[in-house]
Amino acid sequence: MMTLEIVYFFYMFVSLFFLALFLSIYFHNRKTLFFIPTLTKNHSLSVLVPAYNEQNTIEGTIEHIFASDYKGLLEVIAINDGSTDNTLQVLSKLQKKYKKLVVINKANSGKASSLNYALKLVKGDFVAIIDADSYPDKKAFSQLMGFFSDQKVGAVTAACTPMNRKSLLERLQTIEFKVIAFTRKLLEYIDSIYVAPGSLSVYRLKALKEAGGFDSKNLTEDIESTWHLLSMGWKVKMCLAATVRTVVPNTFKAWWIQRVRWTVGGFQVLKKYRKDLFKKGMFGYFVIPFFIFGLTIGILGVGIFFWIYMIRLFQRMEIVFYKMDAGVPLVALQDLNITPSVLNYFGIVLFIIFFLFTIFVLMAMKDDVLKKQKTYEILLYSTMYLIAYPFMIIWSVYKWSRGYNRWR
Amino acid sequence: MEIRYRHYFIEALVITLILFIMGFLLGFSLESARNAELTEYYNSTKSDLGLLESQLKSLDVDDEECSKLITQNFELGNRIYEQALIFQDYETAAIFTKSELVEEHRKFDILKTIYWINSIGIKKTCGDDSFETIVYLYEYPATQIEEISKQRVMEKISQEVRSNTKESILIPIAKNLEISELTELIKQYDKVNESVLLIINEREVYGYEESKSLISN
Repeated sequence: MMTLEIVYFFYMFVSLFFLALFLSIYFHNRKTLFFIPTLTKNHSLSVLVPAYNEQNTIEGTIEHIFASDYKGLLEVIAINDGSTDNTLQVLSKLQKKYKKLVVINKANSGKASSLNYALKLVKGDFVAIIDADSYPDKKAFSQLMGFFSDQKVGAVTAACTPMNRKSLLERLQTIEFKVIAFTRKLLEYIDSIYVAPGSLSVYRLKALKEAGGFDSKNLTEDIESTWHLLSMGWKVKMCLAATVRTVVPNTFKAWWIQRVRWTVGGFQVLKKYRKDLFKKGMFGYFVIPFFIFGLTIGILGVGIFFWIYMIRLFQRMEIVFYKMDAGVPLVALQDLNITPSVLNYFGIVLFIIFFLFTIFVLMAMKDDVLKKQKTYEILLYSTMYLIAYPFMIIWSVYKWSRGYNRWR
Repeated sequence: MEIRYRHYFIEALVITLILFIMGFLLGFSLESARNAELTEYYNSTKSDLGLLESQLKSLDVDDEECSKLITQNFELGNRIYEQALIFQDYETAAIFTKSELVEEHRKFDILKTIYWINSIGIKKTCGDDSFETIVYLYEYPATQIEEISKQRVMEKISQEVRSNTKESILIPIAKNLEISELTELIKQYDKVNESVLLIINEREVYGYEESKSLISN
């Protein structure tokens, strides 16, 4: 076997291993996937809503927060981070309606910095972070807060799902978010949730303060804060039953920019916590390697694909030049007779397994997505959408090397 | 790794290993089945060639017998050529049994050399113009892209020549696999050191550059 074939088999082995790991965790814990701990105490909760140019969505976010059935809601602090639109005016109007709404208006300094600013003012023992374009369900806070009866839990996150599901891109993200929520919940069973996303996560204030708040130098303050908590020995949980709907990008450009920011943020976090590799329990032994694999395996896959096909392309081109020079036919029927190799079969099987896994996840999530989603969209998600990822990662590496630091 | 979670990882590893071993075994059996098919081709061609050889030895210069033998030789030649194409396909697709196929390639080329010798014999006995032989000689395996390109072109040229010539047989043989009969047969040609070569009716010899004229004509 040649080196390239060995690398190809390694890529397949690792991909299959992680898939098998998820299935193993699922079958051991499938009965508790949607478990909601009983709420024994209504802890005081402060909700932080950082906002930058969110005039169209922030009203809905605030309305949804105040519609919550959680009885310990102490205050909602909206931080207007130097918006250039009417976000502040919308908030001022809402302030008249909700007495518990506190509005902070400050010069633009980024999301993490805004959250740190607000953290100094919070009165609750727990802090929820909600993006200003996200809409938590009525029961979400009650469902999340129950997890904190375990004193080792530092953060709890909810299942995020797209609000807008009309365009193809939005519908593909719906599938993606379902898969992410499902696998994230499974990671909880091995104490390896690597991010409590900003769309809706609740933190124990003590843990957050111990971590020194949010890292304003990081593009993904939610990944960073989660890693910080894990590195200090705190647990991060997920409530699959608690949902928050969020506005997702509806153009490819916006999607691309968002994902590049997430990925560059991931690189920053990896760099910051590289010394914890193979230290500190599951964090160093699984979360960091898993994250590294997640970022590199796609590049490896696309690298192999390109290596093989670029070489073939160059060979074909040279052969074509030779044929043209000699005046022989460029293509003959015989050239189309391709006998598949074992590698082709392995690739097809792996693709089918991942396709079936996606369907399985959509079924396991007990959501109506599967009914509404067209089969070709799941197929498209398994091919085009996932194929775009390695390119996005490569682009992110480039942007990171150029000092990319846009947080929005 | 925390001990309480170890069972998930062990389970996942076992599942992955089982799937992988199954995949490898299926891969091996697929390639083995293809190789068995090639061996079957080899054996049947070998026995048919042996039969043809013995017929040639006892051949009287008789029009009817000659015509029968030429037809049989033609059919066998076409079969050998078709098998060579299948061999090439399987060889390109092989992952686990590539090295085995190199040896198989040599065996097939010995067979093709014997076939060529037989064809020369038939032509001598039955008349020189009874049919034409187009022998395409190349180096195996080709690793450099320039060499691969030349071989692809020569394959096409030899196919074109074959399709433009009535009653012709195309015999592709690797010339660097130390087949003594072949070395003996081709040492008389001055262009024998060229990497690709076309020999038509054991008289006309074309290297890569000269062979292009066969198409333009």
